[in-house]
Amino acid sequence: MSGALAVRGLALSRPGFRLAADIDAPAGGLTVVAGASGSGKTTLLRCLAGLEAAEAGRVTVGGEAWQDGAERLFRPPHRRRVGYVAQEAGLLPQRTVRGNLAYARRRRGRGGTDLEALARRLGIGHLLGKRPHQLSGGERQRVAIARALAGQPALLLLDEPTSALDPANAENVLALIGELRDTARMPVLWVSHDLERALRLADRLLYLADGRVAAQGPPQELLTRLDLGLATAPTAEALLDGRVVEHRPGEGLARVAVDGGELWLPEDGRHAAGSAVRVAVPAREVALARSPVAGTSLLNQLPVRATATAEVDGTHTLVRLAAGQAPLLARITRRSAAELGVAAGWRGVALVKSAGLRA
Amino acid sequence: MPELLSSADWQAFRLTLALAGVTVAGLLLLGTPLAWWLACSRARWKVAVEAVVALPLVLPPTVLGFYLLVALGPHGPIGGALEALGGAPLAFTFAGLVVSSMVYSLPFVVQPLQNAFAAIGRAPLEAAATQGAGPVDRFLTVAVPLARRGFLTATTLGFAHTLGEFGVVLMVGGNIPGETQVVSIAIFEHVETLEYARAHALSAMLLLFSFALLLAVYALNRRFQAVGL
Repeated sequence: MSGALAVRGLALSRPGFRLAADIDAPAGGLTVVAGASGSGKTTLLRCLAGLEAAEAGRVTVGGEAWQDGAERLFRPPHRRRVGYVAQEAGLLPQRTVRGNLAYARRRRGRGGTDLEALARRLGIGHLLGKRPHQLSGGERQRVAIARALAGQPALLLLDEPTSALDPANAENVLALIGELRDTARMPVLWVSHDLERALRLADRLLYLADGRVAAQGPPQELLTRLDLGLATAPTAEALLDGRVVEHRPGEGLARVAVDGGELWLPEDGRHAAGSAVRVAVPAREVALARSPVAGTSLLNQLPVRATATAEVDGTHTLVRLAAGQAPLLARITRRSAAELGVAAGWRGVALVKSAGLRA
Repeated sequence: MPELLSSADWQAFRLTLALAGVTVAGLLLLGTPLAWWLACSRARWKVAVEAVVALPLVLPPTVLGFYLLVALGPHGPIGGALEALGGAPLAFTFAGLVVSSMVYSLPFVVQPLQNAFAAIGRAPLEAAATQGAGPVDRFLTVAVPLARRGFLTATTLGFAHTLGEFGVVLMVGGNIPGETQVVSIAIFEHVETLEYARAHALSAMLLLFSFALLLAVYALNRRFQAVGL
């Protein structure tokens, strides 16, 4: 695939830590890199940027080899067409914002990026004449992202660009990453400390555990896989992609069509009718019944089929469900699971409280 | 004033300034890459190099001067090699003073530079690397501008420290007017010959000059701070 990132057998050893990664990330897709702290997320990104020299493995971007242990090929960072945004913006303090962008363009920009247009697109057009110390943390990170794009990278790496920011500034940068997802033509890998927010935007999820790629694929799939730590965590949730059908401003609700049915969820006016939304459905907000229930406050009832079950923390059963084709999770007590006879192949209804849903 | 400072005194003053200037220029040239290496390297024997660089801080100038005299003299390794190549040994010459002063003032230039380079942190340098800046490019466009206060401190300290040098000069250079007689030696000679007024005039001049130099640097440093550099 043109422009895609392919990593084969990437290996790096540090005292007490080993990274081993095989990765595929398509061009123009936002891949969120998740995993516990110490699982190697940052190290992986640094290896891809060439800032850490992995001992073995092959990294290609758009078919172009950046490193290949077998051929003793290793391109240093400045010979990789990479955009890298770290926790610290690392802007040059003696240069203006325009100067910082021009620095990257002069060294990388093939064909010359239009800095003014880029800055306007990223909402920093009014900052071009300022120096880094005159900017807020969020503005600095937006500039850092703009700078990474000014070099027209073939691969964009975002390493916790929002973790050092206050919520308002972080929101600002998250919105920018959301726009990037829709416009970027290169693979984008994003390590985020706020997985919940990141997954709302992710096309793909790369899940690391102890320096290994435990799983990679659509987040909807990985979040509901019972063999991964993501589904067994108490905060586990599934993602349903849908489309807003109507608003009921008077009731503060929106109706969203998802695979296998419709959901009512609290509406904050952010999503217009007809727009695509991704709904997070926490596993603990989902109850199960054999058949549709009458006389309930629950607004959402989706016909589902159980595809797998797993016991968690002694008292609960985690049920993986299929609503249409979309996977869903229910965290119910072992007793309820036994009484309903829930096992793979079981058919029934998932009951979901609207108040527990977020778009 | 003219009767207080003889032409020999003025000569000593000019010589001192020339010595300090050439020494600092040489030290910046050689000390900058050394400081950069010390700031970046993770080599195990780096600490040994750091210790050697710091030696002139603790050694009595006479010890330093003695070994420099031996090394630079006609029978020493450096002086001998120069003689073998058809040159002259460096002891009791201006060039010999420059070499000695560079050794003597080495830590005053290398240490501020090393600290300034280390304080930059890896973020700006790595950011520049991922923007396509090679090692030399990064050094010139990121490290040097960000370490400018370190350069200012290193230049001043190296210059001022060389101005005030006495023991090493006495050992290596002796007291040859116009060739190796610097202000500190001239003052010493005036005192020896009980010409207190001339010693006073030269001393006051050196005192005021050094104070003005440091004052200018501290003021400049404050301005850098104020604009966020």
